[in-house]
Amino acid sequence: MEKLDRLGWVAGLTFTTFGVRIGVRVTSTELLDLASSVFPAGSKVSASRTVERLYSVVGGSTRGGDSGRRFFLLYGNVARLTRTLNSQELYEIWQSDMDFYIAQRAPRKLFVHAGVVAWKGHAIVIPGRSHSGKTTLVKAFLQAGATYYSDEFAVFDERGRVHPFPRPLSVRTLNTTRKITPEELGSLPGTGPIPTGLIMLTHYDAGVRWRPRQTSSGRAILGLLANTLAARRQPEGALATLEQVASGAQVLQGTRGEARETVESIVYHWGKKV
Amino acid sequence: MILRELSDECLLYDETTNHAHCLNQVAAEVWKLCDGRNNIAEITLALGRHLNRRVEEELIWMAVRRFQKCGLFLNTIPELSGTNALSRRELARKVGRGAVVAFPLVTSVLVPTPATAASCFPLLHICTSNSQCCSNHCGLQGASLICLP
Repeated sequence: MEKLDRLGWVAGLTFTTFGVRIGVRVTSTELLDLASSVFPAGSKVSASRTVERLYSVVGGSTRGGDSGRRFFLLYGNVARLTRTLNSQELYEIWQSDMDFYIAQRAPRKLFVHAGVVAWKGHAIVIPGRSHSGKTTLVKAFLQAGATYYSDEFAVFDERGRVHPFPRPLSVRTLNTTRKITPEELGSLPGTGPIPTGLIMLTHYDAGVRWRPRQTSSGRAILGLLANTLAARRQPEGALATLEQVASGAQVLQGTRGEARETVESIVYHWGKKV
Repeated sequence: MILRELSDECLLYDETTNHAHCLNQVAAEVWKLCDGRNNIAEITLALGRHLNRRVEEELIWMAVRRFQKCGLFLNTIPELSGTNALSRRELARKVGRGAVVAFPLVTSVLVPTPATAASCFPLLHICTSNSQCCSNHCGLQGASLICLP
């Protein structure tokens, strides 16, 4: 850290996001604009000089990519996270690392790997591992008129309500990932916490018809727990929060086929009840 | 072991193995009665009283076998055999279809590490560690680290 400390830092900021204090120091003031965009919506500048994680960003020119061939270097505490000429690459690595850190360390929030949309003021939570088809389902819900909450994490508070974590959707193709904003899909990001109305324990399988069965709160909690980042670190708190989440929600379990048909079915059957 | 009781289920979290278990009502009642003081006959009677219906002893053995398999007992139970080791289908045949609802069920999951629970990058995406890649292989190609097959 001492070597890093000796570099010529010209500016720094501390942000508080989901109760986690994160510091940023840069060698060029224009990098602070990039830093502001990396933090999740709702992050606040803090006066604190003590941080839990410090990002150090060196060099580069955020204008024009590789003009001048100056590399960006990004450090998370003392570990070098990337060395790149491309500011977009820097942004993606930085955001990914920060989201992962916040998701594990947020003191009063529980982060579950899940897609979340809101329908008539109630959250539809779709927990699942990568490649289970969450993003496709979230995208289809947004196209059907749902409000966007998250494509990556369901952020629960102690009362079991879901808070927005509206990063752009990461839509995967064979070899690339494309970022899509909810606005591009005719939707808007959610603004406040809402109760969970529906938990969908599902994954995609080509050609399958969506014939879900209702399942118990206990099974829903297991499904959420299997995708909770801090579950091993704080199992008791995680179970208590997830119990609140599942207590007022309907739980549907089953393999799904095409996203549009599944969404139409949900909107028709469940959407009428809320 | 962390215990959370829901209205008609019970959740157990084993901090040594990081497995979480969901016990349905019957399994939860049996598990609570397996406190080292009750024998199988006493558990059968107590469960019957609780559920307000006749309960077969084999049902308790079925639950016990399941608990042992899931590591929910401190001690190992001697090997189960004969009538005690009836399968669910055999037991259903023996006690009749009406008893199906009273089977002890235990669902278990392995709680993931943070990296396993988080999302992952596709092939050729830039990365910093193996755990970020769906392929679990973050390797050097040219000057960049990217997810490789």
